[in-house]
Amino acid sequence: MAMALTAENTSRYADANGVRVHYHEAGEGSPLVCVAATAFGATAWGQNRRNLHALSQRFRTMLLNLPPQGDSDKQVKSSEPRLDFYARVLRDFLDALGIERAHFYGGSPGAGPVLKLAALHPERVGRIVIDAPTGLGKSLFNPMPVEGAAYTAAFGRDPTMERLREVMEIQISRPELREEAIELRYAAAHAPGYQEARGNISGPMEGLLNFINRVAAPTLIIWGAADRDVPMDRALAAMWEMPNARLHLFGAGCGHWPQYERADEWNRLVIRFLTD
Amino acid sequence: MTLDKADSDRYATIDGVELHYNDVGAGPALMTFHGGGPGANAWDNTRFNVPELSKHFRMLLVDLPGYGGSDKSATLPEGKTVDGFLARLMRGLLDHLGIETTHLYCSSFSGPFGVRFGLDYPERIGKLVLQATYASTGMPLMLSPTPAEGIKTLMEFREEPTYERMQRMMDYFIPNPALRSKELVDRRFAAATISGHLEAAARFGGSANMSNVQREAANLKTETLLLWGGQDWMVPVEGVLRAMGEIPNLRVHIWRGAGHFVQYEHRDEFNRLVLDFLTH
Repeated sequence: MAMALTAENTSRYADANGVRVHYHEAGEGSPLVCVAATAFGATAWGQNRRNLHALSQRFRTMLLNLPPQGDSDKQVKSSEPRLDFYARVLRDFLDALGIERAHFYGGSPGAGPVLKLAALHPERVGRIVIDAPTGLGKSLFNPMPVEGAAYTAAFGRDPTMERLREVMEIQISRPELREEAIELRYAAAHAPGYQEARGNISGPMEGLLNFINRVAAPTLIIWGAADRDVPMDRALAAMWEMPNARLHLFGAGCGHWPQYERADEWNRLVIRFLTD
Repeated sequence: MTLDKADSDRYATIDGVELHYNDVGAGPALMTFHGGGPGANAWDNTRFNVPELSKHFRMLLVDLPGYGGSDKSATLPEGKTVDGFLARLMRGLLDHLGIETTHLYCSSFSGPFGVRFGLDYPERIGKLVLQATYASTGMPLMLSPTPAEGIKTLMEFREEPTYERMQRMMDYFIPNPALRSKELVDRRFAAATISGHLEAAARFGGSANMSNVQREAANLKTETLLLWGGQDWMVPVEGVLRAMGEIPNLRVHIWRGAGHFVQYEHRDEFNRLVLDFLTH
């Protein structure tokens, strides 16, 4: 019987042109890079640990922490446009591993870097999956700021367990799935050196609608219908901007974490799309 | 595998209505239903998906009364809704065939009947696949003018059923010209001009006879997959929003550049998505 995948036994490090990238790896075959959100305390393991086993049956799967998330570089500083910086880190990561081209997944703020890489270096990107991207502009129908924003901001100012619990109640609709997510996020938010490094990557954020019409790669956009953190109507804006897009919405109360809340169905959907 | 329609043509008389259907493949039952436009019929609606899906399911491609090879003289009984009548009829067909439960795939006009079937006969349904449909297709649109641009061409064909008007209607059916073959237009035109079809379709096609499934949709226990094309000129994609708000066990898949015929326009992805949904 194969050994179970853990955060520890899948942890790897790469030198992406001087930037230390911490990632998790499992499986063989075509490369798939899953880029985690850069929100406060978000990590690749926390975001995609319910997907790694299934994905690794079909792909050489890497769950990646952009600096300063997880155990990635806490020293590197950048004030250049943020997506350009992240896209370069991703490209340098591919170079460091000798990967010519990979499929990519990006969740929430992790989607922008993936899309920017695809716009700047299309030859390095195969198929793309993005989950509830931030940076797609104002909701047409949700009063702004969106409900989750206040809780996320409060946790950012005062990173207590109580504040985090409030954030997760907004983001994950199924209570039984919250506890482990809360523990991982709390530990990451309080990891040595992390809070001090939060301001390192500080450049301006470009709106995704500026450039995603140049991303020709086949793209699957996924969203939860009951997302209180990033308004779901933006999914349609993304779909219309991207030449080769399709959109999958999870109903039945699915919140901001379809990859986590609906892991089995999500895994099958993504694997099938990437192997088309 | 070349499919000859004639090999699988079947007929059954249920509640006095003669139904034509095609019976292809083996496995759990999957009944498929077409839309309400002139010339719609079960075989043309689903034939691009039959080679793949019939490997996994016993497919029953059923012509609604007034369409294809089914009864052109059928009328909607007094006081009955279209969706309720069709649901009863198709349950009768299942009984006739000795089939306990079936998955349903319902395109466009037949969507509300699919929801009705799930509401009225939950013990007879497996899962529900809806395409470019949910609430009655005659409902006023929320986000663009009514009637939809494509529906206007459909109405124009009904007024004067010429080949040119059918061509124009098909332009609004399938946005990608590379996918609009002359063969598709010819077949649809031939089906639309079958004697008695247009009059019979008009008897059933009125949304005034459809019950408001939206009011009851919260009670639908059935796992549901809703498929749509972003570029649908016939039944615009805003219909997704109603379904999202009302159908409890739902997932939705929208193809950006597709029109009202996603099962053809994206047949490989469609087949894989439907197969995965129905088998898990």
